[in-house]
Amino acid sequence: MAKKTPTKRPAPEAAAKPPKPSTTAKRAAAKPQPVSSTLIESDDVLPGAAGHQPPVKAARSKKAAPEAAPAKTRRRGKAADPLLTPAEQATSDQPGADQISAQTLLPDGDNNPFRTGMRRSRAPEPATLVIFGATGDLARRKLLPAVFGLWQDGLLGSAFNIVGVGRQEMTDEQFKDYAIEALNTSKETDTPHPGSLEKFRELLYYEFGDFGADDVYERVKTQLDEAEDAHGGRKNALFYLSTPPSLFEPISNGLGRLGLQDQSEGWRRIIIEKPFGRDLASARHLNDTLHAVWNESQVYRIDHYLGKETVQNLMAIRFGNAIFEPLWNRAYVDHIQITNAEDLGLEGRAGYYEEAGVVRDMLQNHLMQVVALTAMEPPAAFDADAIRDEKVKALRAIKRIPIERVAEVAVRGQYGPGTLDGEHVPGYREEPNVQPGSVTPTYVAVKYEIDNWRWQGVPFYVRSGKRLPKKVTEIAVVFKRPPLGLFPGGLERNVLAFRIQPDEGVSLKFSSKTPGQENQLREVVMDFRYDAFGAQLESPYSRLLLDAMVGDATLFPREDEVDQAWQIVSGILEAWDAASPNAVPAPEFPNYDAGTWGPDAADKLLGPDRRWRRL
Amino acid sequence: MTAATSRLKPLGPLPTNVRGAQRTLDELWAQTDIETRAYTGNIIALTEPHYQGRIQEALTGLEGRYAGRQIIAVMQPSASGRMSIDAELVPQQGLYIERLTLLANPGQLRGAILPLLRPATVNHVWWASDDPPGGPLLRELTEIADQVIADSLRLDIPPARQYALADLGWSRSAAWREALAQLFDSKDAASVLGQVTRLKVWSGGKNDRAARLYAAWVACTLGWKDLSAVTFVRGDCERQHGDLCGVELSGPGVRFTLKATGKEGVRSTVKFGTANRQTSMMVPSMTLAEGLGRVMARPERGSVFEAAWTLARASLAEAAPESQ
Repeated sequence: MAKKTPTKRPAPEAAAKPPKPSTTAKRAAAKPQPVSSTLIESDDVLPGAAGHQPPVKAARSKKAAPEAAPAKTRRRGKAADPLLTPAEQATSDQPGADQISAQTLLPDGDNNPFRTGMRRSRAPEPATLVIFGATGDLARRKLLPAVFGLWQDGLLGSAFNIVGVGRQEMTDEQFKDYAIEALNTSKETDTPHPGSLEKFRELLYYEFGDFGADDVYERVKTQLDEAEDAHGGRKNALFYLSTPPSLFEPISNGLGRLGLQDQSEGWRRIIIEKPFGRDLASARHLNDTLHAVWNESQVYRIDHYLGKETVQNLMAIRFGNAIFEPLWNRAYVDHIQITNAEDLGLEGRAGYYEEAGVVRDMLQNHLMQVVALTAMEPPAAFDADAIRDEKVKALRAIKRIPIERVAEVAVRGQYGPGTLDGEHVPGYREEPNVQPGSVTPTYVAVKYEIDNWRWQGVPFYVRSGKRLPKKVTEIAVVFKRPPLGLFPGGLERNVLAFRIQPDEGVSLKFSSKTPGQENQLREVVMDFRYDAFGAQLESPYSRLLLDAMVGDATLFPREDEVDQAWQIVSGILEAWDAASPNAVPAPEFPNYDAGTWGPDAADKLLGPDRRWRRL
Repeated sequence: MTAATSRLKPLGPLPTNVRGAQRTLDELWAQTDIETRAYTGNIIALTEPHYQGRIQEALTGLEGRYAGRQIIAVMQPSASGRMSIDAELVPQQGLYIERLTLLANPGQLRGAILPLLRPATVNHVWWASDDPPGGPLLRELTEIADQVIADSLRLDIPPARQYALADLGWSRSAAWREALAQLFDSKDAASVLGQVTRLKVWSGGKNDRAARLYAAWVACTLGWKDLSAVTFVRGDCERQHGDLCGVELSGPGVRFTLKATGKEGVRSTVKFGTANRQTSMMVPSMTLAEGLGRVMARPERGSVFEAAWTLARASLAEAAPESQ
């Protein structure tokens, strides 16, 4: 791999002359106008505030009008600050004409009093975001738009840089072009303000090399040094591993070899994308590998489901209201249903999916997190450890599923040809790059039993599949029937349902008398949709990136959570792995048609008097 | 629930009256295919005829549907005839919101607004008038308000505990507070805060009340008893009127400056000890709608704001009386 000659950020020159004052500053300096308390002119008062209001500008919406103008290069090399002129840049951080003598530091100067009472208790300190796999699909579609949105909203602070790292040879300029193109084409990009893309472009740098060698990490280290030189502050860095899982270990080790995990000069954190291992043993190996370099407090395992507003709303509704929690137990709940249905097929991801299957793709991570959030006890506080402690306790209480219990509590399926939205779609085995006789499951339904006081005897049914009739994810708390039937007709169960996507919201199903002379009851649904607030939902990556930057790990699964999740599905994986010596032969695949709700056996899993919700 | 297609057409306005307003709104809803509605709150905007258009524009431009019912009460002291009420459904972010527009003298409005409120939800009361907020109508509405949004330094009603006081000038300076806080996220900068003895604030517009609240926030944070160490300067920058143009904290051997550059950027300069840093940051300007949305999104009591408000208010009382 060819080495790239490091380009230096503009070297600050000695500040022999002070910065050129701006027009504003000049005017202000020439004509200071202390206005004190007398400057009140009501014809220019903003109603409800001070000032004047020009016409309301267009609401900021996602990708309403991508900036068409091509980004221009402002300067060559590593411009440290896109809003500074070269002269201003040059004077930065140099003791100059108005050099100030050293001051005695206050003993309690570590705290920032301006953060007291602010909505965000902390903003990210000056930092560099280092994205490994910066030219990959995830970075292009999700990460770069999320970072841009945060930066444009002023949430990333004054000194922020992005260093893209990849194996692909590319110059800084080429990477800047690539990133701007990605922002212009991603549906997730916020509408850029005029000039924003050009300014953001100047924050981007690129390094490339072999992830198994030291060179590329040395250049990353140099980048951190330059960022510190340019902006002051410390060498804070967030390393985002947006790469195939096989590269997690070499990158982590490479960073460790160069001492880039060391926090003596600034905080260092590492984000690991899913999948975190492919089974319990590999997950534990990966944890061990990471911990050889990083403390657990530095490791952020990302599960973008936890960044979704409505997943977080589950905790808000459970623990922010008094009416739900008293009912949230075995005394009132008959069972829980968690559904994750996708109408899509493989979408070109056969290589990954043939290896992963639905259990690794959805059940072990996203859906296990949802189960944990649904089942957990109220945390002692809303902080990372308190919440994760409770999630781990819930996961630990899930009755293990050894291989001999798998047939009893789990159902697998694979879709065959069928019809979706009036269109014929191929079966899984007919998808490009899928083995003709593949036994990879595309559907799973499983019954979890939670052995604790709250949930004893309340099954959690979880199902997930591809090529189901529609895209929907929901958690349904199905309550017990009333103990006594006073009214004619059957008694129905109340259902409190949380829709995670789409149409995020909460609904409550209950019975009401129908109009007429008879006391006839009928089920009705009271519906709250999250879009009643009318606000744009932020990208989960945006929330999670910002949390990682400020060091809030609440929404990142901890080591023991991941371990527990793998333990829970290990028996299922072993039973369904055709290469395993304990493999249980797969049913006749395909066993459900594309466009249907999965195999019949899934219905039987619920037993008598229960059925999957018709969504 | 009001979600429907993103291309909603305004429905109405239809003339109505206090007793018939709900029925009229129901007739408009019947023209939609929407079966369920979610009520997220009421906002009562008290304004004057020449501001009516801007208030409507701001309410329509809200990015969040914080109040499903908007009541725009246009105060026309000279009005002597019957009060007029129009009802309409207005698209906002792909949803419908209910809007009732009342045109009457303040006396007539006193008995008209309360029956029009959607019950048992959050009530925002917005004094969107040039006159100092006060009078019997506003006093009456504060009784049912969860939040009063006003030019708070001119508020003629003592703040009460049952509602949160909000100020759009304060709201719109949030990004400036964030920017200043960022300067002191570095521990070395925070450690010299005790050496700051002076504050200078540059503001646009023709009054300094937003700047005064901002300065009071800084002063409270630094433990200053009053604003005697603060200088307010009329700024001239590209940012919207009413926005700040710059801030400078200084003292023996230390200087921290934020100066607007363009419409969205701010340049920071930090000098203390051997540190001499210049950098830039995004400090987005807030439109009226954005500022309004920000305060409506979280109508909670804000101890930080209240402390700043108290200090700023006291500074006005100590100064020469305002001419209204």
